[in-house]
Amino acid sequence: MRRVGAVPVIAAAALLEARMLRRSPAELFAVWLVPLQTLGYLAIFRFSGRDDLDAYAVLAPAIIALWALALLRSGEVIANERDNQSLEAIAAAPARLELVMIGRVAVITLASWVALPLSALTGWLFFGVVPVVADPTVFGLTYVAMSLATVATALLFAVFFVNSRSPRIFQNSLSYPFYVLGGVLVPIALYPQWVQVLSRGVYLSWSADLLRASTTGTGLQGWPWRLAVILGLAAVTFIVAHALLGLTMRNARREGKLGLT
Amino acid sequence: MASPDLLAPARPSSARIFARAVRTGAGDLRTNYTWWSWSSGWLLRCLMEVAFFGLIGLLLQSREATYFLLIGRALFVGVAETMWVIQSTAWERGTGTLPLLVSAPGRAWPAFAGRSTQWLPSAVTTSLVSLLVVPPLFGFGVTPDGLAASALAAVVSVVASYGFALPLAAVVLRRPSWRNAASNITHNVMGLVCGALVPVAFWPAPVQWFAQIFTVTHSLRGLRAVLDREPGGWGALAAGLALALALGTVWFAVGAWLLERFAEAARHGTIDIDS
Repeated sequence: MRRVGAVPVIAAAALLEARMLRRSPAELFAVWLVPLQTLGYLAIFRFSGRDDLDAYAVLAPAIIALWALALLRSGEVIANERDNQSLEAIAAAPARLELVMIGRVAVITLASWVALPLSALTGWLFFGVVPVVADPTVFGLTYVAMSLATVATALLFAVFFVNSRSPRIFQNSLSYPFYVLGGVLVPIALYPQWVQVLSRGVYLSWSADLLRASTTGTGLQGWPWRLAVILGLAAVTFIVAHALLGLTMRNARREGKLGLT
Repeated sequence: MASPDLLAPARPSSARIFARAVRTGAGDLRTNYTWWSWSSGWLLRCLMEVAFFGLIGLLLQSREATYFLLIGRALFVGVAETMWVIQSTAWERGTGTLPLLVSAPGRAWPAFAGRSTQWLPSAVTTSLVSLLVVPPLFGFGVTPDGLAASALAAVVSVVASYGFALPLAAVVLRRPSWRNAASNITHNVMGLVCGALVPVAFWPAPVQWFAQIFTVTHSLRGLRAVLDREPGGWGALAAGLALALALGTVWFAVGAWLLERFAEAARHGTIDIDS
């Protein structure tokens, strides 16, 4: 049997996801929540008279949307394929499940980029926050690196979703713990030391710090290696996910109860 | 031979249907959660959500802001969980029971409303545990007075918010694919204006009026009055809780009416009962 090339599978999965998104825009609701979150964080900061924190309030909802959508979708993809009874077919097909996941999650992640302009627009319309990025190059590079790491992380979560009877609980539980650990709104430098150690293992904390630094133009020291850490974490996550997903699928094929778990 | 009319069973009371539906809901909950997945998954996530807002207080370097955010979010976290009523009501439609519900002699609303009570015990517990556990981690003590007020406020806020969620659930039943979006947008709008993040008075007047439709706006105001040791705090709490319950009852009645209108529409063929 001829093995199918990676690119056509990823492209086909991406196309499928794009079509599904167009048909059911409700799937993107995490993006619609962005203006509400931006208003909330800005309100808290303004009420305390801290308009120096505007950039924090505008960036956090965009990072949250990126994480929430990828996480939600990677669980839904598995659940959908299972309900569809196509999960078994994918397991039997020569193309690997991970390529299908990469294609579908990549489209969702790209779609979630719209959260950033949306958040900036909300801040500007309601609180007059002028959206200026001090160092657009670093900002853009960080955003891309963060997105790559998000796709890798979604792939890792898919392993747990395949093995879990109720992936929704798992999904629901992975939001705020990671917003805290990832320092998406409050820099982890303010956390107790032992939490900081944990946070350093989460790519979101490096990403959020670098996004804030490139927006305000302060604290950009050593940005190339900080960027490299994000990409390194993405690579490690991908390798682990690849190995675990391969193992899971091998077991699933041998036991023949993929649709039942 | 007896006329078929005589064989028709008497219409079962709505209370009985409601009680049966509550049991179905409890069954749902046991399938969704185990004690382990509830405590290590859901509860932990909720505590982290409250901590997330407490940490904003650290960023602001203000004890006052930290306490305000912790209490507001801790009470709100259970109320937000109650908005799952919107999803679980749509699940009832997803299980394909709609043709039976609309052709049965009893009313349809207690079946939908009863099954969605499944969130109440968990929501009350998450709010109460959040109110009692997270503030001490940030260095705020809990007094016996505060404990009693927190318990009362958690129960009333969640029960009243269940009433509030029901009419929304009835509307979303007509478009079940919007259940997640509707539930999340509702709880985010509520969280924004109900006084959990900033005092309601921070917002422009029309937004302040709008905030009054939410039951949690009133119960939270009451809880803060006791915890902040305002003179007449307990009176304010009693008034806030009474108002929240009254408002919740009104919303519940509207919800039951809308659910019955939905069933009526299904009987007349304007709803596709097979989907």
